[in-house]
Amino acid sequence: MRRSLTDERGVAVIAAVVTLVLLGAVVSGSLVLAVRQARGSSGGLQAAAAFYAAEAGLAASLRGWDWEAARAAQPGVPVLLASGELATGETFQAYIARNGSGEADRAHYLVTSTGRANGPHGGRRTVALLLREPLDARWCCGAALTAGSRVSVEGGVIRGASEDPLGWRPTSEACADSSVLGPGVLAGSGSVGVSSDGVVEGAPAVQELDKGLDNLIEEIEVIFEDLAVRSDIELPPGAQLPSLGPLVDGAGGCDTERTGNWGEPLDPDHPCSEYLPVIHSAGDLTIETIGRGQGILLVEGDLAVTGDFEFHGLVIVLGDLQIENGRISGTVLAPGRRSTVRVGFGGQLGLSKCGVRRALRAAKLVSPHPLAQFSWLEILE
Amino acid sequence: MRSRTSRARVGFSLVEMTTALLVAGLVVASISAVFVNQWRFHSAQAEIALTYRAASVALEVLVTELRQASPRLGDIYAIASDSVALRSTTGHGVICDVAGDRVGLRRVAGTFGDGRADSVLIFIEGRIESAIDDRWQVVPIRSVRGTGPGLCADRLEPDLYLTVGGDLAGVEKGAPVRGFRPYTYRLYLAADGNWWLGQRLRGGRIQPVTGPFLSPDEGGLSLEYLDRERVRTWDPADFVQVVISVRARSLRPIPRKGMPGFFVDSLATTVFLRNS
Repeated sequence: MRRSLTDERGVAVIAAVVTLVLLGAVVSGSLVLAVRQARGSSGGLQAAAAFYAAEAGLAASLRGWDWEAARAAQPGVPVLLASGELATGETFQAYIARNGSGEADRAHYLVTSTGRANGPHGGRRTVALLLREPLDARWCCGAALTAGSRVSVEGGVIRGASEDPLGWRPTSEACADSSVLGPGVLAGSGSVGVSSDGVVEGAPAVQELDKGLDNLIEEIEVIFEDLAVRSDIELPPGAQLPSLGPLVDGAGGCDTERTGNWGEPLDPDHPCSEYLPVIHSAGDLTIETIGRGQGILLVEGDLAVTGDFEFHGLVIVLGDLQIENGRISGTVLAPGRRSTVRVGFGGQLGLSKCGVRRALRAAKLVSPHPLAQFSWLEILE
Repeated sequence: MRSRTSRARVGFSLVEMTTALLVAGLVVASISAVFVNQWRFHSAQAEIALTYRAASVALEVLVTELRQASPRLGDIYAIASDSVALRSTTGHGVICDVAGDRVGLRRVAGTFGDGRADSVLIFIEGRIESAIDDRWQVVPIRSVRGTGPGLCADRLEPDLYLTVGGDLAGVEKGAPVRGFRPYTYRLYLAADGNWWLGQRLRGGRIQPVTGPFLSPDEGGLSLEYLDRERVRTWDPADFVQVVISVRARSLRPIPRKGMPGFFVDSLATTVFLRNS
């Protein structure tokens, strides 16, 4: 007799199906949990990656600062400033917008950079930087010496031009148009005295500036304060410097931790050739040693250079300046109304726009700088 | 009528039933063991995931708050090894119109509130040739409106109107504005007997952010403030980085064979203050 299917009895199939369903539920529950955990971890990582990509966008914007884009930006209208992709696949886009409502507004900028993570779930973070216009560089390069009081040239030389070290011109964009002869001395009328063996040359040799001199001097004093807070090297009053010159660390790099290292202006292949520190002396400074340096030298007291020392860049002295044997190529600002400037035998001051520009660029004074106290912010979406 | 014979009956013998029940019992016992283990594993993993999540959320919240704080500007009110009180940025914008005690904002991101503790910092530029005499002035917000009198230079309405309770002398169009609230972050012992990371608005009640954590004495939250020389400091105006460590604890004991216990996860990070 043939058995029909309806005659079958038992629970094996049902039990197997129920067991499979239950096991499937357990497995899928665990899978959901694992996926959720993985997604949570991945989300955190991607958010972090997007954040650092956004910060890279800010850095790229400042490094390749585009003044044309910045100045063309209309108030509130973002202009693309930088975009790129990191080696790990994250991307960034940075926009600049001019803050304000019209031409008369002072120039502030908001650079916003959005980083995007590289991954299936994406991830986006936006950070921003508030910037202001850089210091106006017109104050810096007017003459070899700008003085607020009496200038005495006794056997020394002041020239409205200077021979820059070999190797600067081909390598430095800052030196492209620096061969123009400028004034030797910029000072009040009748305040410059030149002895028979002293030399003052330039176009003109002495430019007298009565009108506006006070404003210029005040501006220089304010700029001194701005520069001093950016100092790389702090010298106490009356500091003794046994030697001055470029120093290399154990790894062959420029040793910027040593206060006697003021960079290497003469050898463009030296590790310290691009090190142009801002040096701030809190009081009097006497340089009797042989040596060389470059950058920005700020002296709150008197500066006396009597050694065979040469400096390339910007020098601001609030007290008296005396130079013998030493050479300064760039520009010297001595705004003190009651101070004196004496350029003695062997002392040389020469105007070098190239030297000044290099120093200002190294100190990031020709690119916009973040607002003091609070400039960085994260935009939460 | 045809009589039913015993051969025609369908059923199970006692032996069959006993065997079937025995086999079924073994199967059910095995499945139960699997399910119990799976439940333990699942519960443990869920607790571990929640604990890890609490630790990472605490770090993310504190890092985000501290990263954009400016100690020199006075953004940090007080610091301790297990708490920090600071200005928490809520939004920012750019002033396009100033009149009396009212400013119009454009390019608004985030939010500006008009609660008792809501204030704004407004940038005031000093001399144009100097960057070091610029300052940010704190003024309380009285009201926030989407519409109001006054137009921007493009003759269109600002995105937001703020009425403030402070002096607006020296405030110029184009000045950036930053809204903030004063918050304190610290661990607190909640009614459920657990330590939670709490956020307290000045003058308000503490609200839970995430948790639970070990107690402060057990290192539930540890903050170390370092100055530029990487030396520990307690000066709220003088630190540039913060080392944050948290020890989160599971809300419930982890079910496992033997003695059940709480799961503890530690996380640490260092945040550099971008505006220090």
